[in-house]
Amino acid sequence: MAAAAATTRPRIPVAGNLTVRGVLRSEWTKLRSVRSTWWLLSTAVILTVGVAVFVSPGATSGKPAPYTFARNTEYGSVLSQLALLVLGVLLFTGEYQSGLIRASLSVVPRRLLLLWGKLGAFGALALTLSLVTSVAAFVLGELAQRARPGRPHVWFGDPQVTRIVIGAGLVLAVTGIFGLALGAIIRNTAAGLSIITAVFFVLPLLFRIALPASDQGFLRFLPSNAGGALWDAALSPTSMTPWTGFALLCGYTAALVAVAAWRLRHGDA
Amino acid sequence: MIEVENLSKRYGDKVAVDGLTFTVQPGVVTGFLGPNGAGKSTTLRMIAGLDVPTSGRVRVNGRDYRSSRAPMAELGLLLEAKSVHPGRPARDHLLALGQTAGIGKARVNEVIEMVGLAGVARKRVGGFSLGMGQRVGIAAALLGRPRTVVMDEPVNGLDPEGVRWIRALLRALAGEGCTVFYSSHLMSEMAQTAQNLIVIGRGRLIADSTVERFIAATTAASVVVRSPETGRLRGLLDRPGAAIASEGPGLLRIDGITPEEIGTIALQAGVPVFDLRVERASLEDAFMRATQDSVEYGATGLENL
Repeated sequence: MAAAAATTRPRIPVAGNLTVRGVLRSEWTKLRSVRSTWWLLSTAVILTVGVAVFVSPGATSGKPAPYTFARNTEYGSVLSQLALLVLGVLLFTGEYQSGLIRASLSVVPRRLLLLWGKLGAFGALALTLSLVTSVAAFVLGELAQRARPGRPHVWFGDPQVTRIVIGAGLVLAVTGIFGLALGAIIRNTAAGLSIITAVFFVLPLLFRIALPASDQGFLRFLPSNAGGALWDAALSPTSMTPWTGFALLCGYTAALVAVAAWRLRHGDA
Repeated sequence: MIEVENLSKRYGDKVAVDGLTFTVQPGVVTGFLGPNGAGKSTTLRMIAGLDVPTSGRVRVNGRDYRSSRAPMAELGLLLEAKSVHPGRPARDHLLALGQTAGIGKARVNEVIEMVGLAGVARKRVGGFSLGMGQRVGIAAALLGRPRTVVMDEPVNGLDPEGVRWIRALLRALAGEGCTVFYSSHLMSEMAQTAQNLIVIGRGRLIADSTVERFIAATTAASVVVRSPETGRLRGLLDRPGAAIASEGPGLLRIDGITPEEIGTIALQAGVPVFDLRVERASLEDAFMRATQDSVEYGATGLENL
C-alpha cells in the first residue's frame, strides 16, 4: 500500500547535500536578518569615525609624531570593540537562549560546520567593516585636522602609520571573533556579556588603579592590551611589541575557538 | 525508518531513557506516548543527534544521522520547545535553515504557503502566537521534503482546524512512504491519526504495537446489553469469571462473557434484548492502564482543592 502510494506520487527531492558553502550562506542570512547586527555594527562605525573626526584633532597638541596622530585617529576603536564583542557573543548565546540552536544543529548535524559557518560569515563581515572603518577613521581624521593651520600632514607611508591604521581594524575584527568563541562556550547572554566587559574593560582599569606600577607588568598580557600593542604601542612603555601582542590576541582567540569546537562537538546541544 | 537500539540516556544520577529498543516503520504513522517525564523528548532529541546517548545507538534511514550527507533530505524535526530567534522574520528563519542544503526562496515560499503563514512571513517570530510559532516549526520540519519526519507535540497550540490539518498532513506523508513518528498528549487525536504506537514509561518500553492491539491487550472489552428484564438476565449470566454491573434502568455492563454467549443465553431463556454491543476501551483508558505504574509526576488527588 505504502509503496504503491509512494510510486503514484513521487517525492521530488528538494534538499541537497550539507555543504560549507550552504552553511556560510545560511549564517549570512541569520546575520543580516536581525536588527541587533546592524545596530551594533553601525555603533562601531560611528564611534570609531566620530572619535577620529571630532575628538582626535583636539587631543593632539603641538607637532605630534605621525604615529601618535594615527593612533589618536583610531582611538574610537577601543569603544567599538565593545560593540563587536557584544555582537560576537550574541551570535551563539542568542541561539542557545532562544532554542534556535536545536533547529540549527538538526539541519547541520555535523556540528563543527555550524561553528565554521558562523566564524566565516561573521569573520568576513567583521573584518571588512573593521578595516573600512579604521581606514576611514584615519583618512577622515587626517582631513579634519588639515583644516587646522600648522599641522604636518600625516599619511600612509609615514613611520608606523600603515601598521597602526590596518592594525586597529585587524584587532577589532579578531576581538569580535573572541566574543563569538566565548559565546559558544558560555551559551548564556548575560554571563557572556559580563565576562567580556570584565576582561576587556573593568579588569584592565581596576588593575591599573589598584596595583603599584611595579606590579603592572603582567597587564600587557591581557587580551585588550595585547591587541592594543599593534596600534597603541607607542604610548605604553610596558607594552608588547606590536606583532607579538597581536599574535598573543590571536592565540587567545584560537584557544577559545578550540574550546568552543570541543564543547560543541561533544555533549548535548 | 528509525531504528533505536538499546538506547540509554543518563543525566547525572537520573536515568531519562533506559535501554529502549524499537523500530519505526515507513509508510505508517507511528505515535509516541508516555507520561510526563517518561523520556519522550529526550529520545526524540537523541534520534536527531542533538543529545548524545549514554549508550546504545539510533539509526535514521539506516545510518547515524550525525554523519548524514544530506540531512535535510533524511530527517525533518519539530521539537516541543520553541526553536526560533524571536527577532528574525519567519521567512528568513526558514531560508537560513534551508540554505544549508541549497534550498532557495521558491521552496521556502511554497512551505510558508502550505502551513498558512503567507500573511505574516515577513514579521518577526517573537510576536507570533503559540499556534503560529508551531506552524513555523512545522514548516521547518517539512522544508527539505525529508524521508523521515519526527515531531514532538505537533498539535500543541493549534486550533481545531490546525489539528485536523496536522492529522491529514501526517497521514499524507505516511501515504507517500515517509516514516512519521510523533508524540502527543491528546489521546483521542492520536487514536485517529496513528496506526502504530510506541509507549514508554520511566524511560522503558511499555508497548510496541498497533493502536488496536494495544487497546485490546491492555483493557478488556465489555458488553452492554439493553433489556426490559435485566433482573432475569442477570441471574442467567451470573457465573464465576463474569462481572455484571447495572448501568442504569434496563442496562447491564458485562465483562468476561462474549456477546455471542449472551445472545444465545437470552434467546434460549426468552429474554428480549433490544441492544447488544461491545464497548472497547479508549486509547486513553488503555494508556492510563498501561502506564499507571510508571507515572513520574502524578497529581495526588483533589482533596486540597
